Amino acid sequence: MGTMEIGLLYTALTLVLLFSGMPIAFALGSSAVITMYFFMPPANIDFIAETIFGELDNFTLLTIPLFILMGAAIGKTRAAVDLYEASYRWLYKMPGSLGVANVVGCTIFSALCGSSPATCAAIGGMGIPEMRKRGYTGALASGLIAAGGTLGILIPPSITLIIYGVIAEQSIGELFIAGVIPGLLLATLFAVYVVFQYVRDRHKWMQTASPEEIAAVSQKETFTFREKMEALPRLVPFLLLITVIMVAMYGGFGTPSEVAGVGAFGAMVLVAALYGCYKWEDIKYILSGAARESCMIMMIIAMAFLFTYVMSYLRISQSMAEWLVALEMSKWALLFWVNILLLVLGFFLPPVAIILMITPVILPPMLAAGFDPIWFGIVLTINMELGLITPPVGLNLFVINGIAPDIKFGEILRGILPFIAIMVLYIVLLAVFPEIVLWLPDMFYGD
Amino acid sequence: MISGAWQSFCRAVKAFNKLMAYLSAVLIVVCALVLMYEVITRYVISVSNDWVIELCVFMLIAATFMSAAHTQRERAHVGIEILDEIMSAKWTRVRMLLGDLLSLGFCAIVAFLSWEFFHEAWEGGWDSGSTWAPKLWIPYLFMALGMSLLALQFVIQIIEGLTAKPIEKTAHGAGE
Repeated sequence: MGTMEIGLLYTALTLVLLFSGMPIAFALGSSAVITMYFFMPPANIDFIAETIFGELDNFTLLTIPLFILMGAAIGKTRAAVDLYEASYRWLYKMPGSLGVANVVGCTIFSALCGSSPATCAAIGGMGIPEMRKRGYTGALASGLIAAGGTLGILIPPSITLIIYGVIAEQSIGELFIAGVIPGLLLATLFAVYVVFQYVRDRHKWMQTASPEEIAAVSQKETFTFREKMEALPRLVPFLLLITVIMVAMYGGFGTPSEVAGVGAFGAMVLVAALYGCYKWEDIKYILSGAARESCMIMMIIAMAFLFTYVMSYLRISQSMAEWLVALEMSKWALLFWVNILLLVLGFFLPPVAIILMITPVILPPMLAAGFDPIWFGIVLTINMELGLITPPVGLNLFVINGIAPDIKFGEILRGILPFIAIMVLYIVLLAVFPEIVLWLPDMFYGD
Repeated sequence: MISGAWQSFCRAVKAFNKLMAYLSAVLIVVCALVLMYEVITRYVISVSNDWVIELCVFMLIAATFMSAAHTQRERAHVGIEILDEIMSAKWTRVRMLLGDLLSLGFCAIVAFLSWEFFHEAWEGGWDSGSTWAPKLWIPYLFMALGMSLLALQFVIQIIEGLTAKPIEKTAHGAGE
């Protein structure tokens, strides 16, 4: 059998196992072992344990459980609500300020806690009812929380970017720096859309609402300068934590793992000092959450390594990559199809599995076409963000459905569509102006 | 009688795995502290510790494998659930059972090979070859033990699935 046939068989087997509903980690592992048994020398099977161990024996991977621990600690507190309330106090004068404050809260909180669904639950739980009380439609309120929650996997520290960095052999620090501007810009685009849509919805609503209703919604809160300043102690420490992580990482003060260790330690101190999370019950919650999440991701990583080892040993990834190069697609056609592939995979699979399985195949042709590996990491991550808000398994949509049961699922979908459109257009924008991604890393790291 | 003994055995396994999951998280916390210590000693007294990297990586490997069984117990190893929506409850049950059997087979193979690997490292007195030179059987032991506990968890889950009447539908947590 030729490499291509084996490759197709391997892909088909993997898809069947994945869709059987088995845990992704063991589906990838089983598929690798079965293929090894039929197509590789028996000695390879004897070395499975060594292969898995050898891949996990990697200092950079240590960043993942540490950032998960940091996220679990921060996720335990009511920091999410504090972050959005504090931003609201500073923004209250502009139209759509509550919605924008929610976007800001999502941006900071999801970056720190690293979990998109957790961000949606934490901020949306308070934010959505509050926004609806002030006249936001269910569609806009739920859409902006679902989309805002995805920003964390782009804004550092990002586990998605770490995994890409490990498999694509790129500097984690450089990827983190590269994520800053695109992440903040995307958050800004979300905020601009929120203001625009809010004003439009409001205009429409004013024409039909009764004077009492209008009076009820129009009661604007005001905050004094003092109240604004009082909100800062809840906002600043978390912004500082992100800044320290970034500065330490590209200032070369430590390896990514050391920075993650310091970040995790800093987060634990912060939540104990600011939120009094030092009781045994709190600690138990943080520990069990961190162990569960970290084990789940690390197991997928371990087994995905076994999966790609088989792909590489049988030269499947190389042949597929060569085949893609030989098609001599134009640069833009290649980018288009890669994005479609990522989008489709994102419908079903979590980012960690997609990145590990697909990067060895698509990165070489992307590089051959002249794309920058750091730039591609960012575009890939935005695609992964899209996967979190597209049905059928867009996790954030289900979280919102759970916390705001009065908003119909169809309305949530209608609310999320404009954000999906913004993200797709944003990928196009980044393709046309790669400098948006590369400007900052080039400045710090040079070419 | 047998069913009573079996149930206490399952309870004991569950409690042990839960304890291991907590200890795994403690290892991650210890990792954070060790790395903190490394950064401080490097900047304050300009001493670099050669054991930090290896110790932390070994702790990470131990934490990953030792919490795997409890994570499976909570069904927190994510999978694609799209067919749950489409297929009838009966077929979903059959599909889940087959998936669990295959997972068991895979975990058992990896557990067996890990024990062999551990045995070789133990017999051969392998060390990591660095200046600190920790014995390699230590991390291999955690890997073998963790995969064995995971396989055992699948055995328990399969038996529970075959004997239990109601279909358990639990929420899965997913990464990011």
